Amino acid sequence: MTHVLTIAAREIRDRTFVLWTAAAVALLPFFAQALPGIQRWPRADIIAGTAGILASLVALGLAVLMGGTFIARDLADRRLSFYFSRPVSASSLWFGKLLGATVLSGLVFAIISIPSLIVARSGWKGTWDQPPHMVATLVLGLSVLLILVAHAASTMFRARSMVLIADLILMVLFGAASWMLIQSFLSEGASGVVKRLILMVAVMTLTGLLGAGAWQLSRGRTDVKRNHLEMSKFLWCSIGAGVILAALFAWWVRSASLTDLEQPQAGQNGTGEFAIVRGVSRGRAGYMPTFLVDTRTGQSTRLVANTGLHFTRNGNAVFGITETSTRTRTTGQLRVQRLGRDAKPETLPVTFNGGGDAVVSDDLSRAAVQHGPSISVYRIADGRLLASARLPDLGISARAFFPSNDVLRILLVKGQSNANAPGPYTLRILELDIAKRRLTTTGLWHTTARWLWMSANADGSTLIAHRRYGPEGTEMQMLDGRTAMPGVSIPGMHFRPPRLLSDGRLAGFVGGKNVKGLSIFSKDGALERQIVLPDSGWGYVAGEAGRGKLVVVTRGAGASTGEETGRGYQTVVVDIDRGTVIRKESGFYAPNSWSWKDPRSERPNTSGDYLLTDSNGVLWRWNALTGSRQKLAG
Amino acid sequence: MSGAEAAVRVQEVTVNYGRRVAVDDVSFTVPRGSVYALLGRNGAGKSSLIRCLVGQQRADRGQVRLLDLDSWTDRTKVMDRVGVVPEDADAPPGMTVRQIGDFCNRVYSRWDRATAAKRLERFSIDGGSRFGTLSKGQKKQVLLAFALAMSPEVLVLDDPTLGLDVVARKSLFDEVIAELADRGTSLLITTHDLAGIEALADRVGIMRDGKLVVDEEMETLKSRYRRIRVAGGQVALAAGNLAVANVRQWGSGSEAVVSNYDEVAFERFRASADTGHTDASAMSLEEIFIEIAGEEGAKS
Repeated sequence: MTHVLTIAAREIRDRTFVLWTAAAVALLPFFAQALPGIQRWPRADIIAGTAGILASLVALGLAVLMGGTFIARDLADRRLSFYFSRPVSASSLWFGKLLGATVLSGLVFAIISIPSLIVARSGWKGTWDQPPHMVATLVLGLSVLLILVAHAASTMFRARSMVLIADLILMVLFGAASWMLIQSFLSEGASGVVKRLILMVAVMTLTGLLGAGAWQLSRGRTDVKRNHLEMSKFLWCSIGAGVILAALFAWWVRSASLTDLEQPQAGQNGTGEFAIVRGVSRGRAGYMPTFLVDTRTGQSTRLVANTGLHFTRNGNAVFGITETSTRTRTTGQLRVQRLGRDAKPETLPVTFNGGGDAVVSDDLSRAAVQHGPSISVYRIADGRLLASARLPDLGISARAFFPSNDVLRILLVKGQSNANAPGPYTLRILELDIAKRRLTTTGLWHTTARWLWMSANADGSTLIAHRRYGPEGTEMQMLDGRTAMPGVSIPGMHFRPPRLLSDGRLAGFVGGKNVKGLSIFSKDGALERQIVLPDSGWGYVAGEAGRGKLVVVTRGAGASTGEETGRGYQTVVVDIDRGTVIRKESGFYAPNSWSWKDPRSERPNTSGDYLLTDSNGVLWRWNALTGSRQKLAG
Repeated sequence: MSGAEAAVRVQEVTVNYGRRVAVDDVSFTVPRGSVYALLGRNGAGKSSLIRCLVGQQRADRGQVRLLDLDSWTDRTKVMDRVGVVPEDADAPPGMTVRQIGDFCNRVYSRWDRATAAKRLERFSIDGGSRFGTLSKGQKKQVLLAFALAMSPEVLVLDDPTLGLDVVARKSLFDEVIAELADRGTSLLITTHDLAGIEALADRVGIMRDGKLVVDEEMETLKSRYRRIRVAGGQVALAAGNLAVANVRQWGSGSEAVVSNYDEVAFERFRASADTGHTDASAMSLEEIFIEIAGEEGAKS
């Protein structure tokens, strides 16, 4: 340690002129206000601002200069033997010189900034976001980094050996490898993992830069080329180890299976055969993998997704848009995973600017992507753009579906959600003729509401507008799916979002002071049956488990809305023809599977397979018809 | 000689620069308290060997031990006991002589500040002078003064008289001789000043093309080399079993240098050959060096 300090002191003493130069530079901020064009700022701000900039620039410039010369120039000038012919270890020499250079950088920053700090302290507070000691710490940290990088670069270039070619190749190689690792997680939005990966590579690079100096001097001593070779060996081994470590970590993170998920969240396709399960994997920097699970077999495959994944309405595929962002541009790519045995994921050649939301036609031949006010239809097979249109009066929601392969129907709802008083709402139904590339309005409906939600039956021929218009009043309004011609209206109390069933009936959740339960309406809006359910202050219809049987989730008083667990919930199977509850699972909830984009209701889940989350967040496979239950994840 | 008795022990050292062999399988030993002169022409491999010796360069093969310590792995321990004056004055030019002294004072476990100051005074060197502003001779004197101030057990001088005038050379050698006399320090010196070292060295090593071709006591070397001059006719030294290093025309007669001279052999040669006047004269170290390391030596 004594030798380190001795060498550091020698380095500083050898460059005392730098400190005198800094003292001269420290006076410049006091004359800065004489410069034309900056008199409009307060004097204190000008002094503090100029002093901060000068102090940082000079300190960092000095760091680069020192790093480039303190070892490499002595080596090239054959003056390093002065130290090696004395009882000074290589590490003392390296760390002594490094300490000396760092202290000099810090002193220069202090000498230039302190006078302005004394005279114009208020200016420092106003000009710099950080307090002076934070700026100093940042500059000092940057100085060390610059010293190390400049030393490495200087050693490489001054040696003029062929090792330089290997250095450049390795730099490109490791840079590319690191970027590939990081980029793959960036596209999944796994910022926690990205931070860890960057930290690993950065720490090992810093360790490499820090240790390489001591290593090169210990092994290369006064030989310039040998110094370069040894430094490169240490540096690239360290960085390589960092990249390998990061790659192993990335591999380990990606190896997360369904059972590693904590409190998984699930969404099922309409038939109940497949589910998308997503959750935070244990001890993996918050990484949230997404799995496609075959609910019949429990087998799962990983899905690459950074945005919402959706099932198609008929449940034959899962799709989502993967966004890739750079500083200047975001591009989206549609990925489709056909469902079924041996089905392989497909990344379809549909790439577009910006992110977006998508719907896919039932036969998986067309995709419509909305980004901003534009909506475009692509042929999935080859990514060809078939039609594109700009949406008029883009409102609060735009939902769409393909009634046929030639037409895209779009439901635009415009209005202002208002908790206090009802306001005007407009539903506009548009059709994009794909062959003619023409957008026409086919239906228009005006109403007054505080809140409006649209959904459709299985083929989209009937719409149901769930309208809340008063403090307690709600209404379900049937509309023609193409023209928006009003049909049956069902006024009621406290209706929750209803569901159009596969046989045309309507199931709505009713909650009130006296009546709590499920109301079943016929096609023409007549009330068929009211089924009282326990703890049914709030609930939703999770799906149809075969004809006449609904899976319903209700929430009791003890339920917490902030947690993704089944605490306080119960899932019941209701026979709506008989009006009875045929099965009840307390402390479990089934996910509410519907698409934000496609308004049509899903096909009935004839298999009866559902996923349930229990009060501990564990995901179960459950058959609503038989009641059998198996643990799946969590 | 056992390792414990040797101040310097070089064993089968080889140094390569790419395909070029700079030092080729060199071995020698410097006993404690002795003076070893390592001689050779420029490029013979002396500096590479010295760098290996003081732990600044790793030999590709072989081992160098100073004071029974490995000079590469135990360099810091070795350097605390070994004084070095390098061929090129390597102290930082911006430092003053006093600052260099202060620096040395902090890094050596034994440092005699008073002795260093006295020597500098004797050399008339101002402590406040920057090292870079000193003359070549003064730089060498400063480095020698500091090399001696740490009371070295071994002193390694790499061509210390290079570029010095006669007076400076004498002053430097006087200083070294005084040190040797006072403390019995072992000395390994490389120099081109053969006249200066002749009286000083106990043992001589001569390098040629990376190989150590001579490694023996100074007296032995000088006693086995003789210049034999024959007034008439050709020299037929084989008759006396004398090994001829070199033969050249000398007036009407000839002159030969023999490398295994002894009185008996010479008398046998003189008695067996009708050569007229014949005499054998002693040779200086410089003459011997020329015979061994010079062009003719290289051919033989």
